[in-house]
Amino acid sequence: MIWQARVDMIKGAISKSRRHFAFSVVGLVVGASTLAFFLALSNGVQERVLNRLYPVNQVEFQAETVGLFGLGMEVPTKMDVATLTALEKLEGVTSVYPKQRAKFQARLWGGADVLGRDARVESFFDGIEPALIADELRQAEAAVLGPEILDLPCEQDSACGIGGKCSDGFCTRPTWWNIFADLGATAWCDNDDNCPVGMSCLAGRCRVSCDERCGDGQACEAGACVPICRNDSECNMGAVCLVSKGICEQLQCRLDDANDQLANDINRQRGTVVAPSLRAGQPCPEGTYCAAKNLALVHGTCEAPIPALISPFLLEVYNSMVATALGLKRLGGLQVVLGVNFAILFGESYFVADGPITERVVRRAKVVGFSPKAMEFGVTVPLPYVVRANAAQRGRQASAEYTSVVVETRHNEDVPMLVQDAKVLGLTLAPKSEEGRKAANVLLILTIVFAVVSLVILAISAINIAHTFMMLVTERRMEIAIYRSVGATLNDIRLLFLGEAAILGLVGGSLGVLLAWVMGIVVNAMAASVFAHIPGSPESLFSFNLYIVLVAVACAIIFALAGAWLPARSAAKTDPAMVLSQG
Amino acid sequence: MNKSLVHIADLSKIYPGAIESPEAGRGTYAIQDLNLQIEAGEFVAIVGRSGSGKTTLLNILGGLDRDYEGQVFIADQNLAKMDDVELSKMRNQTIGFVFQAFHLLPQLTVFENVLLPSRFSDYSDTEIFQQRAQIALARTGLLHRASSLPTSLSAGERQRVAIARAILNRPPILLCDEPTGNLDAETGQLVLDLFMELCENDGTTLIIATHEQRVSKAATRKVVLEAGRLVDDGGKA
Repeated sequence: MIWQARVDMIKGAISKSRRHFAFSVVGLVVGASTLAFFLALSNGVQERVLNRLYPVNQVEFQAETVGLFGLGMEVPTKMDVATLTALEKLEGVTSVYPKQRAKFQARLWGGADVLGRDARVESFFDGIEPALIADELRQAEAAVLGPEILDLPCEQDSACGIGGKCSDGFCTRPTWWNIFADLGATAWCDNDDNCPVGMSCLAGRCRVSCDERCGDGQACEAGACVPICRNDSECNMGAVCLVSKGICEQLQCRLDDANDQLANDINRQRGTVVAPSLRAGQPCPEGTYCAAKNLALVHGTCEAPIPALISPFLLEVYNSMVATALGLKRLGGLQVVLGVNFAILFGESYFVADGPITERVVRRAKVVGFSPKAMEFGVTVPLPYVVRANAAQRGRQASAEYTSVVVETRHNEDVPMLVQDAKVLGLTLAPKSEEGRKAANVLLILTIVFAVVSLVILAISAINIAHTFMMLVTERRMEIAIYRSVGATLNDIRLLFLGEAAILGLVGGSLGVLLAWVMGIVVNAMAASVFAHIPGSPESLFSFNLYIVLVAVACAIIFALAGAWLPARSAAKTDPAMVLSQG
Repeated sequence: MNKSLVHIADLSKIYPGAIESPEAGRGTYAIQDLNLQIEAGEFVAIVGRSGSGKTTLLNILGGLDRDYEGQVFIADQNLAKMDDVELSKMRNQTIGFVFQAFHLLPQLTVFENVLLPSRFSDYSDTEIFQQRAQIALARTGLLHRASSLPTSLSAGERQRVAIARAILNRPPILLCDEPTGNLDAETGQLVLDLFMELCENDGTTLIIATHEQRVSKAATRKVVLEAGRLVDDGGKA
């Protein structure tokens, strides 16, 4: 029998018994829609909530704490470069990203542009490897600001989005995520102990000594490795290319008054360039400020603000509590804080005594992104800034010990073994990763429970299908016998009924997926009103993909076939001689 | 090698479990020790009372009933040794069935009913089958009713549709079970004429179970069954 004829007969049979089949298909639709709905919900929560908070193949470790007998204190064991090197060698590890918290007091102020007046708070911050977070920042930014590169024609800046400028009739906009990087801030020093490991104090700055091997793109100048260049654009912001030497040199500047460092307006901090001579007399380049060694001095270098990330959670707390209590403006969304400037004053605190004035340092910072990986109460900056600041404030040893480390594995399955191996190195899961694992387990269990419920619904619908098909086989005994008399094989009869069941499954499964999709839209709309005030909430809790569609439709087909299996066998066993003789 | 188109040797068929069993406990003989040979092109009428085994014999010849003892050859092929696929192919290509109750599918048009055997054929050339169906309907005089549903036809017309369906694949053998049993005399004659025309012009072998004298007289050979036994084979045994 050729397949076209088989398909025609199946179509004919379904058309003839469409009422029976319509009832049978309801169960399949309910089962498949339930399955697709919960798989898509689980997938969506995993992808858009859990993976953002706790990426599946990333796990964060911190040093184990050791209790000091009799003192009621717990002291963490050490996590240094040796620990990181050992971690890198573990099975399944692809990357190791250390994190370090600031180990000194600081305060910050700023934000008048968006808050109405400056916020002044105690500051906590930590450093994170920019590479760990680049993709996430780019995606988050694209979600709220649209494509990075805008070839849009424009007439004014406001048409070009946050931070965008209209130049020569076309929009340009900074790619904020790209700014979260080490911009090469100058690290001042009095001796080697003020510099991070691998750097020496040369002429008052921390530099990589030429005793070490200079890296690619660097040259040895006056005993220190310095970046090479052909023009200014190849140098950090605030540096110029000394074309005759082919090296970058940071612009040196002078403030009119040391107290200008405390000014809110960054333009008052641009000072005057004093060296090299070709720029002397000009203010620091736009976007940079004159960063003095400490609050008592007026001499410094032109530098770009430190790029900083903030946590969406911080914004939520601000909107729900701080803004109300202090009568400040509520923030409409994460995007409004992009580009906001603020100042950090190292060495001062609202809680403990300020350090000596020579240890108090003012640095400007700028918000360039937001991430759940950022500190919840504080700001997160690129790791080298924190390492340099810790070395300057607390000495080299303080900058050599990391607070935690994010380890990326090749596969999610590598994580359990990694946790065991890391324990040997004196590392334990950070609370956030521990929460992530628990949350993932809860989600997995819920998914399994709902998948089982869906499969039970499908199984019940299979029983219903079996009942319908048994009835149809009895009704169609004569038709079967006639088919047999004109040449149908046993297999033709079986496949006829199984084909009808498969079509039922296909239709039921497809309608089920469609229904699940519609239910997803409804649930999203309902959830949107609940989540509206929470910055960074996912637009959709559901993630439908081809895999889910295929699984739901395949399950519907399999259960329909299972239901029709015995009736199809029974149909094939119909005795044509007896049926035809009975007339 | 048998020369006859149909060769039946020592055929017995027992319906199990009947209490009036002549052989203790085995059951009732529907057919007992039947030997019969039918040549190609013969018009054989199988006559006998109800329950004499006529329908059973046709079912066995058509491969619809495989539970028998003895041997049955159709065109030199032993039916007992054929699997389901081979038997089905034989029913599709070598044998055409015509039943007393017509057995048309009510949801299909006349034309679709006639085309039914083509659905179970290995050949996919629908044009050839459609041409054959038109020819078959033309021969049975029903081309003008091709698009009608069987329910709108008279009994005689339905039987002619059934004959058209039986001859779609031009089988060498037609097995007919009381084909005129549900028809009035005039319509029955029309159908009988059609059978005779098929036998004479196409050389189709006709094996018709009947209790109508008119049919048995028209046949070239009359085989008489009584309680499953062959009592007269028309002088050819």
